Amino acid sequence: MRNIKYVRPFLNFYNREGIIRYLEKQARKGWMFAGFGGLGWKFRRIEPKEVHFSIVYFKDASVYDSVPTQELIEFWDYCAHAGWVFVESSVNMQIFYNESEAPTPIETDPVLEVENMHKVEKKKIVTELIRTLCFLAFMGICGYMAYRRSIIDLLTNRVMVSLGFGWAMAFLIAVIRAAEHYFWYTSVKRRAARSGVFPESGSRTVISQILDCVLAVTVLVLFASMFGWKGIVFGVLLLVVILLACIPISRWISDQLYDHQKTKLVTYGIAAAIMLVIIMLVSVLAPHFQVDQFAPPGSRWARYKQEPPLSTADLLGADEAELRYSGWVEETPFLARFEVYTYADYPNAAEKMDYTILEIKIPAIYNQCKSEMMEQSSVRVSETGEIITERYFSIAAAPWGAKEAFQYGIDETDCRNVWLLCYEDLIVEITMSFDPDEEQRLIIGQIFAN
Amino acid sequence: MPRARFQTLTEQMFYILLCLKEECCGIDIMDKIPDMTAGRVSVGSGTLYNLLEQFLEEGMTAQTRIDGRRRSYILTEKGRKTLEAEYQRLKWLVDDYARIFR
Repeated sequence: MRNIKYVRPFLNFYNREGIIRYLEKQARKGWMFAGFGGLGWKFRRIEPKEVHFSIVYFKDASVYDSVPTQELIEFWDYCAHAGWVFVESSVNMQIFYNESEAPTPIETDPVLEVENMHKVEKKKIVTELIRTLCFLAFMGICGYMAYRRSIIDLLTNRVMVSLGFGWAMAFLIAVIRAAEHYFWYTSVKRRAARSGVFPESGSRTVISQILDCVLAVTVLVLFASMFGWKGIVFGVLLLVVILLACIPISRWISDQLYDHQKTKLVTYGIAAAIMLVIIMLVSVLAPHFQVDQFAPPGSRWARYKQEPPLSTADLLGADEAELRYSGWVEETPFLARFEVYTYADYPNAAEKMDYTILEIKIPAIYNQCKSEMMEQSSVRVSETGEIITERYFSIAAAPWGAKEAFQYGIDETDCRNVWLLCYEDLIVEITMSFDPDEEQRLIIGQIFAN
Repeated sequence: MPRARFQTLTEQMFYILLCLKEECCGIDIMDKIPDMTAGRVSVGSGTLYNLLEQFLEEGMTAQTRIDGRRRSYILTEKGRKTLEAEYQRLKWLVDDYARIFR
């Protein structure tokens, strides 16, 4: 018959009454709580008996204390004097048991008890708020700098958009937790003062678990949007490795440094280093996941199935079998950018066509994206030594079936085969090795206008 | 406007301060109070620890001795005045009750 067992009960930090009931029930069944282990909650076999458990919060305990402080040991002495035996602690949370029939509870002033819990949680909540706000501010600054450079590059970058969304969600959840705690504190303190009893806090358990689920789903969505669905495997593996590495590292630090401040500094340093490694990994690996590349046969075209919307075959009637194309897609909920290269692979073929489709999903940014694409200009020196600036100039849009059309060059007499076509929610930049006739322009318009 | 801390004392606060009229070890207060009140009032070990810390912060008590892990305290002038004020408040309550019901 085994004398030790490990259990992982589905209990939450806020469900203090639930934890106490669970531990007392286990004692009645002959299992005494012996502490938190890596495999779960540890229980050792005893004779079944009635045992009282108590969970209290010692506000001065810190995760950076490698050994119990003098204050904590003194607190245990006080409890031991009343018959309460210390079992286990999880930072501020201290668990005791008492085998007396009707022991005096450790906390006999419910208002003071609420104050203690409030002080413990306030520290955690403020730290979480500051941390998420700092990261959000950092993302905001990076995003603003990227926005100043190119709004198109920013809003097609899945990593930037996802991280910005992720940290905004993390900050929002931290604010909700802070607000929820504040309402709990004011309500419970009033009820405790009125009734003289610490009120049960069942709803807090539910709210906390809902917020934890929202955070977990946010992280999963983040990984999916950054790396694609198969990238979630990579993300989960990365998280598991980090968690498995952090636990022994943190224990080793605690064992080596018997000093609160040194432990705190080293922990912060290691956490910052791990964060930096993750950011570097994401920056290096994400581009391989976030950009969908395609080429026939069996090519992937994120929106247009197996082939690009426009190819030289559509315009020149080239044999489909000799058609070659490749490109990539960068897409976020704000913008999608498709870059395509197509050419006919038959002897002496000279016709080539490259184009970029910018699909604008938020109408409010349409004009800004158009301005950015039109900003391109180049300077060259003519044969007469004159400095000439080439840029996009307006041309007739109707032949292209577009709302607006522009061509790159100096004017209609001196221009290149590069066009910028503006449709309802698409902006298309096309470069061709040939000058399309009216019918070909019409075909292009029919494809993109629809 | 929120009431200032210790403007009124709970029963537990009152008896802890009473015990500290003379120098007393913190832990011993846990046994003194039930003896003093014939078992009517008892203070939890956690509550006692926290209140002793708070009285020390407020200057109502002073630490006199440290014997290993056992610390002793005594009431200060501020603590004595707080106790006196609470005694007066309770006396008014008793006098008002006696006037109306007797």
